[in-house]
Amino acid sequence: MSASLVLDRVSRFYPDGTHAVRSLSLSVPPGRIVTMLGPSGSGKTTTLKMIAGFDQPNSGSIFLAGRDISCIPPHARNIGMVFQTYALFPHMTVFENVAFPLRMRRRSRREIEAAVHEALALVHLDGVASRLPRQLSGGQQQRVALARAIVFRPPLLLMDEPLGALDRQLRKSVQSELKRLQRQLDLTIVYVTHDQEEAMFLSDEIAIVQNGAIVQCGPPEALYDAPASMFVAGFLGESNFIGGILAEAAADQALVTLPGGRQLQGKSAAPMLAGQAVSIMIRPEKLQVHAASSTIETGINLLHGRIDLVNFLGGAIEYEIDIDAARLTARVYLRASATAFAIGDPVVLQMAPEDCLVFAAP
Amino acid sequence: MTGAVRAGHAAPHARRRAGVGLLALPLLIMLAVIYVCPVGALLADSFTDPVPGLQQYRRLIEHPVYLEVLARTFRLAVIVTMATAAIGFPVAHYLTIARPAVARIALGLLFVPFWASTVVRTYALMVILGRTGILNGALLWAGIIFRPAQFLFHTATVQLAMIQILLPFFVLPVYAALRSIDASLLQAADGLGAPPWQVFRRIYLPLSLPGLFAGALIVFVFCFGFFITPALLGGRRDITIAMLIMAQFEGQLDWGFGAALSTLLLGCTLVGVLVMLRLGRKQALLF
Repeated sequence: MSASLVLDRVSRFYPDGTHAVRSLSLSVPPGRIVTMLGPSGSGKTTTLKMIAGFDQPNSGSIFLAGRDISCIPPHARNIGMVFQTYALFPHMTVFENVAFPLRMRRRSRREIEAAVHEALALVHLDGVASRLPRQLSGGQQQRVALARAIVFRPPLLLMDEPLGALDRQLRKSVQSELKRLQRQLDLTIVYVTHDQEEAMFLSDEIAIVQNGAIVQCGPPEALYDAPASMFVAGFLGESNFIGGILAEAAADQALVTLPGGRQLQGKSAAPMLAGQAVSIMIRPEKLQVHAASSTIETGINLLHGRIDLVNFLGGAIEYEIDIDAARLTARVYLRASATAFAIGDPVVLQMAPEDCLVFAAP
Repeated sequence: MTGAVRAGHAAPHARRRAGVGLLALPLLIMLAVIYVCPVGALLADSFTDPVPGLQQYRRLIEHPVYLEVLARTFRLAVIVTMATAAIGFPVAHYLTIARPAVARIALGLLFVPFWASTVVRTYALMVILGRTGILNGALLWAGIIFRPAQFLFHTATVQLAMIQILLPFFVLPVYAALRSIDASLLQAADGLGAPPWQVFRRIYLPLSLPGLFAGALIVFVFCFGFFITPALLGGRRDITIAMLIMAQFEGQLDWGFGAALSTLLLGCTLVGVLVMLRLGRKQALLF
């Protein structure tokens, strides 16, 4: 039922020569959710439109289940799509909206009746079949759009920021629903969003898109733990950056001198030259905060600082800490053993060398 | 607390809305003075001139010629409206998909005729279509005909001229309606498996119907009361109800009967408008 999707060096440029998408390759295995995550204007929606057939690539090919679909018009591609604005037909009832793709496929009346009600039941909307879209809430409209996109069991489902218009609470529950549906129906989904939390929550794989190209693609955990560039590190999850000069580099080990003269050990993904400007990236939860008086003083990778702000997050506390070279954010999950600090407290920050990722400074 | 705050906000808002309502006052006064009062007086005339009673309406019914003219006017209005819609809809659609610069020029061209009055445009057509007109001259010169042909004073000529004059009145509201159709709906239909003509039939056409009916309504109402063009270009058989009314006031000086005919025209137009509004509302939900 669900099919694989392969984009092979797809490019789209405009008459003035600017690229919306440049030589983008992406492979989506059947039954997976792959998210294209990137800032607005990065080319992710253009890519989605080319997969759907609303836009044509200038070069490259698109394969669905191994078949080149680049030259097939949208209505013959058999791909489901959920639009950011839902694009529900305002003059049709919910039932007729969901029945539309089946009518276009000339299914029998009984078949349509059964399939529509099944699809509406899947999204918990069976009670509103006879209403018009404008009589529904935003969340309900979103689910009608989803039901309409899956009712004909397309081998591929495209979703263009489908939850963007929903409030945070609703978004969370729809995300869970979507994950459940995806597993239940074994859907292949290409999802587009600029919301990194949503991407991590939903995806089997995330493709980070920047300036029309994929800069890194992989499972969310891999991208979070080992971002390939400062852009990916900054875009996916929260991160601290400390600037410095590379003192020594050997294999993937790096020693960085900070402006104050202190040195930190870290890990580098790409080979770099001693003496070049670098940035150390560390996630807030990887920073360990100790009281300044503690006995940890003798360890490696220590930084002295002072608590500048304390933000209570519920399950965790976030400390904003001033060190000589920068301002860092540390997140401490609340446990019985955790010491609480107050604004102005001197602290020592400890970080494991494998958590400090060193990138060439831009 | 919340209620008090809301009320505090609502009061100036309501006052502002009332203030905006005042802006319509000059128009309302003008309409009352130069439209409602004279039309009311005219309607009253039909029952009181020369003596109180229904004799003018009895006369209307007793002589079949008046109702026949009414029927002919109605037929003319329907034909012209339908032809205008058939010609104008593609034009309006083209304007929505043309590049903005091209659309602006096309809209401009559509409105150039507006700068000349209907009288001038009708006479211009006579210059072209007359016995010694440009068209006859060209055809004679080319050797296609050997005697000047009679293009004027045909019903078809009247219809053609009316279509030409009324086209902008149709295109403009339809263009506005078509422009407001969300393009992503058409894309969505395409993506869901609808080939182009199905997208047109099931999405584009139903969504454009309110605009289509608005445009058709304007054209129909104009047609029903059209005077100059049929009077100048039409033959003896192309008498419209408006010409008949004119004759009563100007020629026969029979104000009572003219008022009765006017009342008939007004009533028929109102019925036509109501029927079309009804249809328009129903059609939009039919597809």
